[in-house]
Amino acid sequence: MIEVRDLTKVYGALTAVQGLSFSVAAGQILGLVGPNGAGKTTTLRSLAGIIRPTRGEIRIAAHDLTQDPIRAKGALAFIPDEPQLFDYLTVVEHLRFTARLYRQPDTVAGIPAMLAEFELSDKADALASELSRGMRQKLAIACGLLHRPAVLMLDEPLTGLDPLGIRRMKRTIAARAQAGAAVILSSHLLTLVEELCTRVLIIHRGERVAYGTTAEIAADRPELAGRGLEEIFLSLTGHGDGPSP
Amino acid sequence: MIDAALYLFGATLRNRGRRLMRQLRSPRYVIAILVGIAYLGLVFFGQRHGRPTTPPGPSLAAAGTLLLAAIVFKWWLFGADRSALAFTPAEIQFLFPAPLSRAQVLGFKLARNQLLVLVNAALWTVLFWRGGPGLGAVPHFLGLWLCFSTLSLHRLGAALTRDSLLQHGAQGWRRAWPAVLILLLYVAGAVLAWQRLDLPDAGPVGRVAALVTTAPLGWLLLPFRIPLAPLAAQGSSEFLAALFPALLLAGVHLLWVLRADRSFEDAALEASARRAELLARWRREGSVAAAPAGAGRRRLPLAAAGSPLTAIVWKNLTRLLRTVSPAFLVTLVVLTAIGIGLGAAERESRGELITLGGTLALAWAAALSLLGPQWIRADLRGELNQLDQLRTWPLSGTVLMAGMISSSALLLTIVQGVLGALGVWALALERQIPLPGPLVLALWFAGLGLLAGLNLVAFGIQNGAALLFPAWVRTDIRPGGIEQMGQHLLTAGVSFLLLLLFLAGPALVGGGAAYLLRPVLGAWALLAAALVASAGLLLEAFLLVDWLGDRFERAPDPGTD
Repeated sequence: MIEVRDLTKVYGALTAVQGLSFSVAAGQILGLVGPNGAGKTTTLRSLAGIIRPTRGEIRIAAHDLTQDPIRAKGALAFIPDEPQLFDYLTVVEHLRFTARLYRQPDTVAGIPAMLAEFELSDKADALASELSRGMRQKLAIACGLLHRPAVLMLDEPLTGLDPLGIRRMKRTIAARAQAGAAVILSSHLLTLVEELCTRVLIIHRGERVAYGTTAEIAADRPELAGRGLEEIFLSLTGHGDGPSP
Repeated sequence: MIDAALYLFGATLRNRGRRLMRQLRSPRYVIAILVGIAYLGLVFFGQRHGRPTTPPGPSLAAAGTLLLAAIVFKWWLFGADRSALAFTPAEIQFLFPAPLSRAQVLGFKLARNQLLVLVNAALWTVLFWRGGPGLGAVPHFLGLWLCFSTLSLHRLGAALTRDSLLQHGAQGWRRAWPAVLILLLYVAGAVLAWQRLDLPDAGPVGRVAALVTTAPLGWLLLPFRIPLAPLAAQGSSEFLAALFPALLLAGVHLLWVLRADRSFEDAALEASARRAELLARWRREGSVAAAPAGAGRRRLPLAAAGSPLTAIVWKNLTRLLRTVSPAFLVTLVVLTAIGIGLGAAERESRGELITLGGTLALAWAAALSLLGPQWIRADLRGELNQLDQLRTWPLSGTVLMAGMISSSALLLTIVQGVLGALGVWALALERQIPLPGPLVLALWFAGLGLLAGLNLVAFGIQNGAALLFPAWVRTDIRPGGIEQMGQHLLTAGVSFLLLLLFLAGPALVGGGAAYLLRPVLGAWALLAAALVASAGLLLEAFLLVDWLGDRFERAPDPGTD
């Protein structure tokens, strides 16, 4: 569903992402992790069509993002860490507007259910500017999911949510994957990645340092056998304390 | 505290100077600053060689008094601009927990406001004082400083008092009713004074000027005349005589503000939060215009199915509908009413008044072709900080740019169309148009096409500038310096030249058509010319939007990791 080959992004003298290749099949959840400045956001923004890669190929639901951007974007949803909403539109208007942008008039009928799923029903007519940070985040995700995207990309999706919201968000992400969506989840919360993701891509200084399930990654490095994702991550990004006795 | 404040002001000034010097390494800043300096120099030079300053006459003094009264009533009725109360987040972090009294913190705020007042007074003196028999430059500066200081203190006091009332549970009308009562008192005073006026030969302006000094309104308006009196003085002795009451009034204001500091922290924190919110909104949306609570009730319908282009137009027009300030609309209606009232007072017959109204409507429709693209921003300029999101939409750049540009162009064309219809109707009613009725109607329709094409091109240029040269578009809500003024002048100048360039072709072709067809079609050749020119402009607009769409898709990345 997502195929990335040799993705490279250069900003002047800085190579933010270097030769990244990976794929995410339908139903899989890929955890994208890396230290600050590793190139996670650049990778996600390239995959969402916000920035143009310097080199490489990105295919979303079999559509080349560079050659056929409209079809590729029509199949994906990107939810950034900071919800980007129009302060002057109400909650329900955001959803109706999204339905029009994605040419999905039939999804309008599903708006009440979507509002209920994200506990936004009683805020349907509230302006986005009147919502709390957590509710804005829920609305951004609801807009992203409205057109039933085949590919879902989330950047730190739990930021600003309360414990109940976190639990429901995790269920929503898992449910979308079970329904056949390919999901990329970028987060610093390694426990979340461990809990939800079927595979992990660790990048450091723009390059892939590990890719696969936690067990596969550990299998390639005997010294990491039996370790959790946090220790694997720290070890591979040069911050590990070495294998404990 | 004074030491700390002086240190902070000094260090801020020094570091800003250093930053400016660093920025001067960039040609963009150098050009902008040079243009800004050249403009200020031209204004200054023009003033030195223009007519010398003469003390304001009774009409100007009356206008100033009424303006001051209007500003003050606006603060009390609708709430003062509370930015005067706002602190920066760093100031809150450092000053509020520091071992300082409320008066000291408020004193810091007043001192910082004084810096702004002094700079403004100096700037106004440089720009508007031209020498001559009136006041010298120093008294002029002192008069301005006193007037601005009093106004600044009053604004602060009004904000604090209204906040205090709010804290005591007085909401909405309950907060405003004392001000409404006082306003009604002034209105009653104006009516009484009007009845006592006996100036049969004076025009409306002369009557209003006399009204301001006629009892009982004259007495009621005294507090508004005092701050302006030093500026209206005819000489040094008169200036000194006017200075004392003005100083006294400013002193009373200072005492009022310092004693009203009971609710100061809460009000200041609220104002600071509001400013932070405005800054955040500016960064998110490129505009500080906020949809007030309840604005969600102002709705435009959006069908479930249809083109994304119309959805973008709907979104942008909804934004405008919800963020346009009711105060702006009220001001517009009041100014129009005053204009019509003054015009009616000087016109002998109803016919003359209708002709005047029609001419004004047509003049406004024409002027909006130039002013509208600067004022109406229901387009990409309002979404510059959301480019990331726009790029994820499954739309071609052309559709997106077409939606953005046509939002503003549609609105402006409708406004101009209504004004044009009113103007044509009024002039036709008075038989001021020497053309047959059907031709006038056809020309109005053709004019709509012409205006639509012109507006699309004009908004295309403005949006193109924002897309291709975002660094030249204002990115901060704080007042800018000379370089920002230079940037604005340059962009406005280049946009105007580009518009002329786009107009040249269609104008030539339309003019040629009129010249060639006139022997055959007579006056109807005008219609042919308008249609040809409209077609030319619409074609140019189409090509421009298509090109901008392509540039949108290829534009440099909106940000880095």
